[in-house]
Amino acid sequence: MKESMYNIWMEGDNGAKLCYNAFASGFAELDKETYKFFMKCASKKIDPNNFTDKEKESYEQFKKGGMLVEETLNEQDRVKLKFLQSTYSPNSLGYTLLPTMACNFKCTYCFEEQKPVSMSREVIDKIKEMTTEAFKSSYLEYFAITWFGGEPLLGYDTVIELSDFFINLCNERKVKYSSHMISNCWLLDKEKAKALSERKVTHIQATIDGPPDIHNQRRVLRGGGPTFDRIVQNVLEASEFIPIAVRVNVDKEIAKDFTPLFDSIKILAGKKNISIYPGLLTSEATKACASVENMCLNVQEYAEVLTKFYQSAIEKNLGFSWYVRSMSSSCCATRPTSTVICPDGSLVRCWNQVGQEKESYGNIMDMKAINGENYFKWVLFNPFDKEECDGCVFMPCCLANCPAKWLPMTTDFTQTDRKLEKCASYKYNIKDLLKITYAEKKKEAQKKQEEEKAAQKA
Amino acid sequence: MNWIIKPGSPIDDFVPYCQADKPSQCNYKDCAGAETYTCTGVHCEVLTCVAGGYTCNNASCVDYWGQCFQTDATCPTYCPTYCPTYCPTKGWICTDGKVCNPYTNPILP
Repeated sequence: MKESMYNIWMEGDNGAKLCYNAFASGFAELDKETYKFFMKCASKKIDPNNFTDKEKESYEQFKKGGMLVEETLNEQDRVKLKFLQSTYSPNSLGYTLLPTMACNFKCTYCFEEQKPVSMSREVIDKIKEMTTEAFKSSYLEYFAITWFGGEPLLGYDTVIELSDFFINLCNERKVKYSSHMISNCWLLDKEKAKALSERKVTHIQATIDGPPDIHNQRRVLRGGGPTFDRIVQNVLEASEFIPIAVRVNVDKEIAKDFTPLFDSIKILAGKKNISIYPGLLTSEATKACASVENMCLNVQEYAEVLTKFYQSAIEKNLGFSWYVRSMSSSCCATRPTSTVICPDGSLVRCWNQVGQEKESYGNIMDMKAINGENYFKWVLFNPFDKEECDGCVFMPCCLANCPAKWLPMTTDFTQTDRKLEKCASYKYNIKDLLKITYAEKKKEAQKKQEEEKAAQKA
Repeated sequence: MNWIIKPGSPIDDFVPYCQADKPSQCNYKDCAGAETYTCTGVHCEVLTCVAGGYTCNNASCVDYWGQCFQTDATCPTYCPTYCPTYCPTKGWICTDGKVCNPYTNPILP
């Protein structure tokens, strides 16, 4: 046996060692004795037949956690195979659907160029026809939809009509269906939340842009006006029916002090069906959002800020958590069985390209006229031919990260001379974040122990 | 050894997209014999079952080579268009109830 190339080691409490394995995504604490035994196992000078029962147990755990692997195993090949199997598997079908490009907000950083087109009857019918045809595949097991826009709730009737159609088709063919939605939540009342939940929308992503005074300057109604209070209220009410993931955008200004932000979203923290997580605000997607470039953090700065974000959140008992897992495919843009369908029927690979004609690879109304260049550069994206990534310990988790940062584009996206940071932020702070997770889990375990003791006494 | 987070365990919380692993979102169920769970971007799936050639069917690993296929290109009397078991090769479908034809995914160019 040998030690995995994907182990990341840190110091734990009382001389213990902590090990995170980026392939198996387990995170373990090894006391001094177990760590010593691990090193012995990894040094090849071992005979498992001579192990004590305790050693046998540890040895099995090392293997289970991917920390110890067979001598002959090329771990990079294993990651590559996993990627290829998943990316090119025909067992799933995924659409990102934009019922409309219209939006009732006018966020200062929005990457979409506003073209208030809604999905026509012809496009809706064509999607149904195309899906019925796709369901003839004997391979198909999973069908997933992302509702995107514009603001998808401005195309609510289309969401309901297509959801009902998809769910019936899935029931008929015994295919598993799931969907989620990216919404600004302005129109998300209880009635809609209930109806969407019944249409198997498994969660909705909302966005907050900092504390109210900052949010209300950036995330404004199209006609002007604040949005913070109504978003928070709608999230709270809708979470009765449907899980909501609240993305909190972070930039230089918000990162100066998280206290006002945390105070203003405390009402959402720890609530059933609500999770909160930070997101990096970027200006790289299109020319439309380049105006916010001076506010944005680069990836290294973001990593530093993220550590502070979680640390501060824990101090305030907000219950946020962080963890990174290995992935099998890099992005739905690279999967041949996924596509983004815009309201006019045009097809793009990446969410950032909606409404960008130059990056479209075709239109569902005429599937024979395909722009091969715009299609194949995505579906043949290969995370394993990147010199910078060769041998990187994070490869199982990031798979070269966002393909859009590597691929040549014909649009505004790469006409800027900005040097895009290609790595994921956890490259710079994974040890800090794992240590926060470690401290939190220990605290939880201790609390549980104390509660059990108290219960026994009682 | 003390697991802080067990390998393959679903995370407590959810965030969108590929780290959105949660049983109810990911079609994940406890799959006997499965070792690693992962997220494909649209759902979580069992990556490996105990032996090659096995796949995870909700709650257990089943041998997916063990299905009974037709040995020629004719369709049986009852031929559901989506059923994989009646044509000789996976990826072939019985479109007219008589002959098995190769299947072409309509979203592929």
